[in-house]
Amino acid sequence: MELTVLPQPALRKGEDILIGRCLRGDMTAYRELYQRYSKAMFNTCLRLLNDRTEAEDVLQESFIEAFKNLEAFEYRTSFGGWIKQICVNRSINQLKKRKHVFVDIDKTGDHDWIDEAPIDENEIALKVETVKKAIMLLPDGYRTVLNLYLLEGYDHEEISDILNVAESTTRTQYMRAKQKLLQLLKEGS
Amino acid sequence: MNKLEEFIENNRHEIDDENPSTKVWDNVEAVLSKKKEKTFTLAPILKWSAAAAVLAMVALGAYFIARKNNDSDKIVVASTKDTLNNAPVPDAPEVNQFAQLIAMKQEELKSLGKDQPELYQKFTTDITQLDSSYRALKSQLSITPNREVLVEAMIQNLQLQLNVLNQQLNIIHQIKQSKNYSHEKNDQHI
Repeated sequence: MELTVLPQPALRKGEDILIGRCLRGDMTAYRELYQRYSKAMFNTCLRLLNDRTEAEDVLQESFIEAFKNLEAFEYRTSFGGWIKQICVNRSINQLKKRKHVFVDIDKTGDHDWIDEAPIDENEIALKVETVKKAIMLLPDGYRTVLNLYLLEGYDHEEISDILNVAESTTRTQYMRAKQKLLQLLKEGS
Repeated sequence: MNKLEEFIENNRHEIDDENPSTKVWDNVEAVLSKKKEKTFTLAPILKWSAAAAVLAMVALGAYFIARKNNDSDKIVVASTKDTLNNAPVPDAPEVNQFAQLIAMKQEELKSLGKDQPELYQKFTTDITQLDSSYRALKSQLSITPNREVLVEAMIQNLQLQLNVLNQQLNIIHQIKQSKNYSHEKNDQHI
């Protein structure tokens, strides 16, 4: 799922060399590193924020932060994993600025969704364009959890850390988000 | 794996199809080159100042070692006859004469000073100081364009050394005489 983000060992070695060149002030190496990851990172930011301008701002600030702290990075993880972490955290902070708060599900009395009959995903024909559009129609809370789990490949434990909510919350939130997405896809088709 | 998850994984590249504007890289690059300028103008200065600091420390160390060696030399100079001080200076007979005279006086002082080790020590340090100036002058002799001026300065220095030595000898003589006198007095009393 994360092939673009976690390079193979051979790629890792090449990337270590690339990072070494960056640390020596080689601007073409910075450019190469940016080109390698910027597209995937931009899509991640865009899906989370659902706003092109904000996504570009977050992308820009994330790369500046990563490049400025490249010495501290010290090859602990892949650069891809690291820049993704920065992009996701910055996007989440940006979402929080919109006054959207991630609340534990148990604290809300909203359980109406249970009454709806679960949708069988096998009934729905999936197309990239329609799935993408449907994801963007989800409210911020649903969209965030769905994106982090389904598209960014984080597990529920990681998501609960990122959003600072209980793991059970992210699980329930994901189930709800997925149902909502399937509902939207069904309505659309 | 559910249908939806499978679908996403199989279509990852199609899903990630949005491209950021090129101005994002332009802004990142602008910030980086600013940072680069800062570090690159600072780095050589730091390097050079580090080099300068090391050089200064080495020079200081060498200076102290040389001075220490010189000091021990000078005590030898003041207390023994064979010294650099006495090494003949070509084309300056006056200097050589003075140097010989000083060596003689030093020898005399040494023999007389045996009874007064403390005083002798003090006298030697006085002469050592003068002598170090003399050495400094003499070391310039081969490279100076103003040889005459330098030789004159050397002669002045030697004259001063000679005067000091004469005074020192006088003091020692006086002390000896007064001692002898008191001894005689004591003898008379007995």
